[in-house]
Amino acid sequence: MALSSAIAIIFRHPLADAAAKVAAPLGAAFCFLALATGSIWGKPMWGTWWVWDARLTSMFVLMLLYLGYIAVWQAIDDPHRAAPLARIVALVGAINIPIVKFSVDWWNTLHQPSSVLKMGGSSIDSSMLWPLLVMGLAYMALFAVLHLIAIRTEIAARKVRTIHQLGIRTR
Amino acid sequence: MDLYSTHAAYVFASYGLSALVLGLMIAAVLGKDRRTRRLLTLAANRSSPGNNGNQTDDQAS
Repeated sequence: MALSSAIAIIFRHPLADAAAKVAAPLGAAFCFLALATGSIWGKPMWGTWWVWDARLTSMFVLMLLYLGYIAVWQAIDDPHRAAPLARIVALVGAINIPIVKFSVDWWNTLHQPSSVLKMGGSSIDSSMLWPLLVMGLAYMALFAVLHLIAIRTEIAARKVRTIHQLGIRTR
Repeated sequence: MDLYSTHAAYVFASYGLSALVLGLMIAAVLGKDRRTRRLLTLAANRSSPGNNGNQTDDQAS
């Protein structure tokens, strides 16, 4: 979303805003799933559903950023007025990405330190690492397919809006 | 319940929730795509020259 927003600002590509806009609900759903299933995992492993530790809190903030971004598009009827504001929200929200990634290294809280992407190789046993990587790829593939379909939907919606506007003007 | 049963319950709860959320997400994306493209077809038919604006897809075809 931040990349698309940056492309929209720099190159004024007409599809960039659409790509960012339709990625937000998908991202929010994936983020919710990560928080919810993580919580279900946390109960037997950590003994608690939720703690305000660095990783969980930064992921929760990410969820709020997704909802805020979606709210900007929903709150402003005119897409030409909503787009600049949404771009700013996406770019400011991108600051949270490295915070999510490095939160477990910067703050020593309940969540374990980095174990997949770290210097010196992964510390996860291969019996868990490979399923994790395969599922990661599967989720990325699902996102890619749904994102492409959603972009096609957004283009069709824009065409419908344009046809209606042209129809109203010519009457 | 023993430890394995308890953990199995958490695992299946996690699977169930994932399936529910992903299913709803896929249905929402595909449903919106279908509805929007149908609207586009209708709007294009209504706006085409010679069309009286009251035809449905089937009538127009």
